[in-house]
Amino acid sequence: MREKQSMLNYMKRYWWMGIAAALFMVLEVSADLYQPGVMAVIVDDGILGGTGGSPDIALIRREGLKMILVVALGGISGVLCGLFANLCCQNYANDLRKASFRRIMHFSFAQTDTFSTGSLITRVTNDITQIQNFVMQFMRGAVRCLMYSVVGSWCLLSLDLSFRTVVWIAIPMILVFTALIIIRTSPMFAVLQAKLDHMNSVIEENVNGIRVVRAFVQENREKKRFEDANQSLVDTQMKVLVLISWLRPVMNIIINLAIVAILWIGAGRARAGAMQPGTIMAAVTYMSQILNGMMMLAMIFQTLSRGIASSRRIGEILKTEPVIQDGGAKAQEQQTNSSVVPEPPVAGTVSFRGVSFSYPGVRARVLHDINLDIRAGETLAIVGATGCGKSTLASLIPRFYDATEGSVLVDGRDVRQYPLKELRDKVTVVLQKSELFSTTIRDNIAIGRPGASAEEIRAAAVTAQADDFIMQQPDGYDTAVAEGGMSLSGGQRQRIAIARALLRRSEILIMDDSTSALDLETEAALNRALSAQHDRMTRIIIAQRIASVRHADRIAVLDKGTILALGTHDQLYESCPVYRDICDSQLGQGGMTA
Amino acid sequence: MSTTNSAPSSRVASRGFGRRFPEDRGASEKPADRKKTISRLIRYFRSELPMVISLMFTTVLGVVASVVAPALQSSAIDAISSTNFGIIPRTLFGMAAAYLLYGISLLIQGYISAALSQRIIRKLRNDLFGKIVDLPLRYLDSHSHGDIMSRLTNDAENISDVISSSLSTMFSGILTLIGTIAFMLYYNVPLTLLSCITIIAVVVVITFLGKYMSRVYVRRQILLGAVNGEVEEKVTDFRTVTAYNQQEAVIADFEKESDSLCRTGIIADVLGGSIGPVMNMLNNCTFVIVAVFGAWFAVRGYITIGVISAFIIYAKQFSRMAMIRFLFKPAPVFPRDSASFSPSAEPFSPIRAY
Repeated sequence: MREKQSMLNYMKRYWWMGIAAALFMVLEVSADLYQPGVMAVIVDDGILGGTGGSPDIALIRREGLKMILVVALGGISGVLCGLFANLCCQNYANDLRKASFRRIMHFSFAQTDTFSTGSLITRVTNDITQIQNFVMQFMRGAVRCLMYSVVGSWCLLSLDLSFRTVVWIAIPMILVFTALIIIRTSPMFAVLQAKLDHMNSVIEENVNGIRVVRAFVQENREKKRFEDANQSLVDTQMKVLVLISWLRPVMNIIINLAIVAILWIGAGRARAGAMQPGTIMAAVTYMSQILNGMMMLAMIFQTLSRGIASSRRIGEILKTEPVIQDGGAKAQEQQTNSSVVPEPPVAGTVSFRGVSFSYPGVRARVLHDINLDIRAGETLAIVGATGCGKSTLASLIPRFYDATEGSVLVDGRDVRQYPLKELRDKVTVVLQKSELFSTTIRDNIAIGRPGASAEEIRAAAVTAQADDFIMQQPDGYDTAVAEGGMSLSGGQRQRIAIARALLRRSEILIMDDSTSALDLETEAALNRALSAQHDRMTRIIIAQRIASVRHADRIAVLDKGTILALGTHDQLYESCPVYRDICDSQLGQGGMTA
Repeated sequence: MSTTNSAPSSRVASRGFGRRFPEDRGASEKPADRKKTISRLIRYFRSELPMVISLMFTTVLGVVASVVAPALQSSAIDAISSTNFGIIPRTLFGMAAAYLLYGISLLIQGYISAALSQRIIRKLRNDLFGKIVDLPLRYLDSHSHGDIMSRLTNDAENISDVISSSLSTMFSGILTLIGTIAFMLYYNVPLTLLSCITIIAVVVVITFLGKYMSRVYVRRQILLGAVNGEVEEKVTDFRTVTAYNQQEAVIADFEKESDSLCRTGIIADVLGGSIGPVMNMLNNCTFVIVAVFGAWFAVRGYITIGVISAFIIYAKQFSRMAMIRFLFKPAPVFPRDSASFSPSAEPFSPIRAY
């Protein structure tokens, strides 16, 4: 229930608009409910002349004018109701959308991992829309439905109490029937969602793994798999639809038979001289208005179940506190002092002290008791088999994840004591996957340091060996990058990402397998440029290719989460069999001379 | 920062940016291609002909019942006012039977159109999936995977829903319209013409509001696409945002876009939402016209009171049908549905192109 409260908090600013909407809705429906009564007067007293027995045209004209006035008032109220309802629910949804986006941007990597990117996107886009629709429906529909059924029944009974048996039988029947359908269908929606997820995952596997499917000629098997998933989704959907399709016809039958019953009772009363035709006509109209209200009830419940599911999903985001936060107040203080106290003489050291790590919810350790000191200005390479923990080790430095045990120090200070911004300004990571935004190339590089001059951006690109190909683009640096950078090759994307990182001039640069798509020549040029331009920067290079790392000052060989050996290329080639195996397999026996 | 194609019904509009390749879209938005798209979809319905026919048959039954019932009610009211109570039991029995028949036909209609739409969804998806598995790799590489996925799930469903529900609604709408007008004219021609005044008003309101609204709706759709695109990109590339301390800048950008979406959305929906109350008001006007002029005619002896009661129901049915036609033809609702209209059919075309 806590999440409900926090969701409702966002409503606080707009509740009065909701109230206004509800009030105008009451006026609008009142106008609708007012008319059948007037019509009864027109027929009974106007046409039939009431007790006098002679028609009264003046009365008809008078009542007609009154009705037009009420109708106009009702219409205006309806428009105003829409205005306030939209102001309320769209602003509310907008606040929720912004709040959840803000929260997601402050999540730790581990938290986005648990939610999964796809799910977070659906939540912020789809679920917010669902909530908005739901609030809207609820605000307008609930009042309308209530007014029509409750006030409509009251109007009907105030015409003549003998109609009460009809109301008392018909309305409970409708309520019970609606409840039955809702009870039966609501658990099925969860099943439906699960089936849909399953089908989606089959599609995703195939779209992403199409090359594998083709290579192993699995097309027919995959088609069969998809057809099965599709069939079972459709079957469930059909069950839900069939259940729901009972709702409207049965309600129609109940209410229409109720109308027949009203005519029957009315005829009996008329025979006894206690009722006139106009009253019966009004009663029939009220009954069909009650039907309208009841039908709406069923619709509200349908959006209700969806709305609740969606608000739960948004609530989950909003109640998840970011786990990785700025270091404590002490750290803040140190930081403000540090502008007064001179910088420590050596900047750019990294130390791992007994660091172990396992991903949340996973027992197995990815890193086990790592001890490593990286000197300022040094180039340290980390090599090892896929999945040995290289990237994980590096991502502990800027606190993408926190170490499970032990501590990581940057410039002698525990990373958990830094304000996050300061730490991440000190430590720049070129990520394994070069993610480019859909803006210009220039803006993509400038993300490194907003406000950097054109010359600085160009210089960073030159060092990253990116300037040449950028200048060949149609608009040079102002060329727009298409979604996901699809217009550029892998190597070009990597070089833009490197330029972006260099622009920051951090003390520590981590390159997480970020030159994998470069040819050896370009990579060598890049390394030369880096050494020349950024000689004081500490570099940590993670790579698969030995050629990328052999010129590093030191190389750490990581195996199953521990450091197996540490030394220069030549030392390791002599002393570490694992390293020698990797070298030989990649470069061949004679490759060492290359 | 985004160059958006402003073609009203294109998927481009709903995604915002990131679609700049000429081969990407656009081609499928030409009217000729849309016609091709629709004829492809009709082929799916043709293979379900027995179901389509039984759907139409039950619809006809339902419409007949719903048009006859008010006429019976009219004679019941007349019987009451002329104190001819003898025929009342018979008339009311007929009414009950007509309403029961109507209810049952609704039930069958609901069942058939559910079955129809599910069968078509299933086939459409299987065919699309088959196409995707067999498509040239180049197609898959040049299209965002999320986009391909949403075609298979959402779009396939939307299309089949829109078509199967509009199929029966349109059909029953036209029949009801004809039946209703016939009965109204049979009862009284002047009162029929008077009730049609509001229908003309409806058409005027629609053409007036519709034009402006479609513009606002398209703009809203573009903004929604931009916001959703922003979420997609920034959440996907969340690691880069974090690594480069861009959170606050990204959030500020997002809030700006989200706010402008909110503003446009409010304008669009206040306009769109006012259609309901305005229609309701016009309905009520018809009610007043029928009540007042009907009373006047009744006093003169042109019609009976029962005819007034029938007209109240017929006029309501009439304007409801006019509204349904509006829902399917012009602007406001259309862009939303048709956003998923052409893309899903598009994977068929690359086959020919390659």
